Amino acid sequence: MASSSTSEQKKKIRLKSADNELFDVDEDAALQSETIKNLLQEISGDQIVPLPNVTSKILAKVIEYCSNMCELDPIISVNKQWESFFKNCDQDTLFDTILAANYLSIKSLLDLTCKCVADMMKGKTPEEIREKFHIVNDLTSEEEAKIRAEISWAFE
Amino acid sequence: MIFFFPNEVVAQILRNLPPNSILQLKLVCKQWKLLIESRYFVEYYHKHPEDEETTNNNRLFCLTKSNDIYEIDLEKLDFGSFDGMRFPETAMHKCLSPKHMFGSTSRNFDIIGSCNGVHCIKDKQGNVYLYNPSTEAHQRIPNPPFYTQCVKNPWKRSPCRVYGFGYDYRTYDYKLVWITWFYPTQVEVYSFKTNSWKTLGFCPYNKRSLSVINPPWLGGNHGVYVSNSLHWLGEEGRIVCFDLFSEKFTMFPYFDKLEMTFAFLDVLNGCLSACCTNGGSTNIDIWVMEKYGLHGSWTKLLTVDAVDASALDIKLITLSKDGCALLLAKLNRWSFNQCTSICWYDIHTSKMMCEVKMEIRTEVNRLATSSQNKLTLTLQKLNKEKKT
Repeated sequence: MASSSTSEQKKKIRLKSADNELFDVDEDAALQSETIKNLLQEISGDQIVPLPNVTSKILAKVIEYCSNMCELDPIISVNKQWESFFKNCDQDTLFDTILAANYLSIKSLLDLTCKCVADMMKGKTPEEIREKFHIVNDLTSEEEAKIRAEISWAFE
Repeated sequence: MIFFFPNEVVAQILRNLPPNSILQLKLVCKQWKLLIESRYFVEYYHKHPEDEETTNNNRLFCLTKSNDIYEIDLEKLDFGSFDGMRFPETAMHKCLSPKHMFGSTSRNFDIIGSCNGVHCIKDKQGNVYLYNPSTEAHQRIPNPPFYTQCVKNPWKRSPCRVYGFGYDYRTYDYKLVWITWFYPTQVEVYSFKTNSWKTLGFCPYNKRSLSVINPPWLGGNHGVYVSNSLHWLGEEGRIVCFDLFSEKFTMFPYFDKLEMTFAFLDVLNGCLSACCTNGGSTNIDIWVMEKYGLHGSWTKLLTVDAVDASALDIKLITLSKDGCALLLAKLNRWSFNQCTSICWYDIHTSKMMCEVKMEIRTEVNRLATSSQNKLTLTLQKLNKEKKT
């Protein structure tokens, strides 16, 4: 009925990123984050919610995702679009988004981004995974030999 | 950017990967190795909602009087219809006979334990074997050193033993615990992976320096495997618990219901359970520890009403999928725990609903339930494919 007018009057939440940029977000979108939901209960109405662990670049993406999840229907096709976005974006953006989703506790976003990283690992050897994700191998050669022996046992 | 995530995020990423690659990923770095080996990860990985059924006791294993072994897939049992119930033929799998497998002439085989698809079997002479029906692999476990020494005693009598068999998820290893009653009581642990025995040399003792685990002459039974640990009934209604990873004993708090004339431990759909008989009565109360390790979560499931005098013992098999009925086997304690019948009981009324017919001609001597871990199943399947 009066949907257009109410949408304009929607309550906004003001978020502050690590680099002090301010974002005004619809309440529905912001409340997808369990962390923001909890913070809002602690601070009074019109205060700014500080998010010192998230940069403005990533926060903008996260807000876009959350707003999308609220507005669009059906969600499946939206999810597909985001999946292809995360598959094609650079590794830093993907990893930062995972950390942000974990910190902000947005389950659907964390599920989606973790799945993307898992897909990048599929069919790769441990060495290839280390190289791709810049992981330092801190296992001793004895430990490595032991694990290799174990793997061969499991397959026998 | 360097890949560094907290453990819970790495776990969530790895959860999306198939079991065969998980083991390999232990080679990536220390954090991943420790995480994959942790109990937290193993439980998290296997707790995908769609996998919940794999934690059930989904296999029943029967040893018949004529020494045949049958494995029954309980998932294929039609829990919905209770009329004229029988185990469908497709769910029954006849395994290699122990005689053929182990070349043993013994008649009375016993199941020490069944865990993660592998069965640990003992013959009357005290030889112990491992058997995996899905790969048909089998082997004899050598007797432990302390026990072997004891057998050489001047009285030429073998000391009493209590066993326990389980799978350690943290090291991906099958382990057999062997407790020998001698002077003093000794505990020895066999690891399948290293094919060797380790003497622990201790066992929880009471003030009189007697082992608190009930010896066989006081109804001491095979260890019951739940949550990576083995459990035995001890004196004064205490449960003695042995963690297969840390190889340490702990005691559960005193549970008065266990201090009865006859009580024994069992496992039902992954929960530690206790069957208790009140002195003089033939009623058996079935208790379940709903949350493992939480003493307050002992809940009475039902009372099996007036079991006929020939069948004083029972073996819990499984709950129906809707959780309304319990399948159990009645055992005749006066005839080496031979199984007399398998029946469904209504949880709410404690009444017997019907008997399940089995397509086995001879009598069943021993029963065991076993859950199958999805990771192991997948590895076995892969291995089969690799061979063909």
